[in-house]
Amino acid sequence: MNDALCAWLSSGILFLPLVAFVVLLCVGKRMERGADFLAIGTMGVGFVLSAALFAVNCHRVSGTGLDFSALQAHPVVTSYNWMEWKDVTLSMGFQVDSLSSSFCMIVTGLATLVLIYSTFYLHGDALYRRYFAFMCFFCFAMLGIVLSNNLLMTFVFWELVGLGSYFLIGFWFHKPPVAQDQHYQELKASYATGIDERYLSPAHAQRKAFVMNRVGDFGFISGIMIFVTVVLAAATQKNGLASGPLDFVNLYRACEGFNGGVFNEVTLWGMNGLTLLTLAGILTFMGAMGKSAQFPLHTWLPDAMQGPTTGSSIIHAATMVAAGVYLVARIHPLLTPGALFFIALIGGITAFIAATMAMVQWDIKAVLAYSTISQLGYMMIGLGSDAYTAGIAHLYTHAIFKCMLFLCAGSVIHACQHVQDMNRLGGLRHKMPLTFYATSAGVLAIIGFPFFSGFYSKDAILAGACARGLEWGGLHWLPYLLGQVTATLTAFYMCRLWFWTFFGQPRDRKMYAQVHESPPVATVPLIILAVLCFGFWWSGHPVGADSGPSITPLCTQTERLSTLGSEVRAERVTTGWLDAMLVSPEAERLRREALLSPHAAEHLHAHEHIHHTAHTWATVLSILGMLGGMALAWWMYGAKSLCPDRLVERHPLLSMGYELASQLWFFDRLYQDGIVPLAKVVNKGLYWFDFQILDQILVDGWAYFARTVAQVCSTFDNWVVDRIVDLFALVTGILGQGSRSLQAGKIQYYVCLTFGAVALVLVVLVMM
Amino acid sequence: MDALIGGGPDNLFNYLVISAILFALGIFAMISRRNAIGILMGVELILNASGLNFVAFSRFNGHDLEGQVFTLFIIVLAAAEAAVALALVLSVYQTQRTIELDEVDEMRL
Repeated sequence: MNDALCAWLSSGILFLPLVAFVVLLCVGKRMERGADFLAIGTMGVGFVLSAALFAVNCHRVSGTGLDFSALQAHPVVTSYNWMEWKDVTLSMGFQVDSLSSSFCMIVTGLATLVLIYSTFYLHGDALYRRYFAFMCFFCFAMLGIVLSNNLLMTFVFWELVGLGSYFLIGFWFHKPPVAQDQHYQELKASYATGIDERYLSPAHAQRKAFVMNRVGDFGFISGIMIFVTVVLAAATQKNGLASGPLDFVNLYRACEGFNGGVFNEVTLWGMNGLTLLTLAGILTFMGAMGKSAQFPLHTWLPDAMQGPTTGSSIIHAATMVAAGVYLVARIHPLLTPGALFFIALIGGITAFIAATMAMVQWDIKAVLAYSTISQLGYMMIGLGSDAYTAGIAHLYTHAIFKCMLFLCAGSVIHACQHVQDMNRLGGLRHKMPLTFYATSAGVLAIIGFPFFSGFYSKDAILAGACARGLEWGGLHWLPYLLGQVTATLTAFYMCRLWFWTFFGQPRDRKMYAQVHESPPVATVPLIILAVLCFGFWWSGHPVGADSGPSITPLCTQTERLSTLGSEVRAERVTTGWLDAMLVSPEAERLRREALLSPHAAEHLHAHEHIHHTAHTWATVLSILGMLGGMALAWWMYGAKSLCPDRLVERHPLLSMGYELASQLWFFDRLYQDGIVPLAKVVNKGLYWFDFQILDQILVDGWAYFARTVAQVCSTFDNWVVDRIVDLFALVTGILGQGSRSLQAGKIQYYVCLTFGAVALVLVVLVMM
Repeated sequence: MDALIGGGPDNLFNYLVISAILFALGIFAMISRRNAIGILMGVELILNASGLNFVAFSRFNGHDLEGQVFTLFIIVLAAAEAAVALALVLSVYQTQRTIELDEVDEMRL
């Protein structure tokens, strides 16, 4: 019963937004207000269904009520056959487990709030109806990724998400490049550097996002192919797994315990099976690098700010960039330690460089954009180090506070006549108290201030990364160190934005006079989201430690594992109900092994001990770092007792760093002036080859040859074949003419002929 | 040979001669008549000639009944044929307003 219910709810969640999209496009024009209420209602219903799905899922596992433990291990899979080829079956279907059902709630919930806010933010826009239609489509695509039960379906919806982001980023596609845009030039941030104004426009940004994602998707599909090949090869050796080689559950089963030896026996293309799995993991992660804007494919995300702020809000929270992290979480059990380290390292680099870029931006949306990239890097660190749950928890908490920060930015921008330059804002807290409070909650959450949501998830990530460093040493310290430094930088740039926009004196008095708080339709979603930024929703423990009483009934802390002789008590490093719900595959494996042997139980204890130590250190260090960053920001931008400009001028190292960060580490330059011209040269060469060699010589030559042959054939046909046919016709005609008179229609004639013939025969017979 | 021309008029030869005359008359009627009814009558003569042949052979070949049975069949067949042929003639007359077969040449090329 539960399975059918899950399938129905999943279908509803997935297809309602699609129906809304079609309806909005087809008949929305004739409905009042462009049918925005339809989109909002659909998302609201989607949220209710998601909540129901979540509840059903919890109920299914525990059997009695809401219990969040160990849901991850038992997904409900509803699968429909799509294609069959020999004994390989490809399916489409839903995989409902705690990860997908909870993330559905995040997607639909945030989309509902953002859409409500959009009715205010985009009021009067010429393309108002289209915006709501696109949002529905975007959410449909994302929900497809979330609910998908196999890699291929994920890939299909992955591309649809790319398309949805293309629609939203280029929403104002008619705008000219910013170099020619009078309005933009008036409002742009002073000291805006690193932006290539020749090209920047919504239309260019959408193309850029699309193309950068293609680079990643190339890796993604290659990774899928390698996964299938390797797993099928391993399965042939083991004599298992014939149908659904792309289904997650089958892949999980096939890859359970890489050390099991099966993959070591597989050799393809001269490579060991495990090496190939690592390669497949890294290639698949390339797709996530594109979607989640990881180094070095991150440059599209800041450009995506050309879209409406509300669109950015959903892209940065629940849909586009979340897809990459979600994918890594989904395929986590398939990733070998090598691939995981690669992911963590890329995450660390991304987190760090994006944070440095965010430090020097003056555009309020640009700061948030770079901070998103940085936070996504954190999630990758978490997933790559042994902090699976924390990575996903950070995805959730970040989705909520970043969505809200963008909506706050939108509120500020709307109130200040589309000024995004922080140098012209300031002192807004008196005029926009609600926006100010919401932003404060968001800022405190993102910098990891204790008792706010980001604190728990980010600390757990750093703890996991630190534990990985402690356990494995060497290069494995790198993700942790980068993350730890980034924590300080995050605190600095977010507080800089906070102080410079909301505190101090207004810098543009004329504009300030007209500023007013946004109406309730905008502030109510902000308040809801701000409340969710508080930590108690996310964790039962005030400091996120691993023991102590729970204040949340949703929390499960300890799990008793009884072995035959002794009882092993395994305590989890938990961040609350999320941790209880999303069991890390690594921890799960250790725990399962602990059931089997006392040696593994000791190993588990050691593992938990290291985690405990790492957690303590990471918490202390990140709180200190965060306070340091905050203090520095206050010093520079709050109290203004330290002038950053003079500091940079005086220290050559700082000025170099400043230049590097403000030029965005030259990535855009490199791509625009290095790779794009290179691609153009290659294009020209290929065009020449295509035109001169393929078209002129091969195609035209072939045509000429064919025509000559055809002419010869035609001559032969005319003079030989046709003549023969004519001859037959002639002979037949003559014979026909000759025998024509026999068929005269005169009955006497026939009788004479008949009897004449009979007589003749008789005569002949008699004669003989 | 004895049975063929034996003594007296009652011999096979006479019967065959009459039959041949009937047959020839039938052929002649078929060839010379233009009227469909006339041709039909010729056909009937031919059928009767063959019937006479059967009976004659039956009688002069040890009195077995096979030939007579055949004759009965021929009579029945002739009756059926006449019915069908007359129906055809009637039908032709209704459409063509004539039964002169020379004039019925609608189907001719």
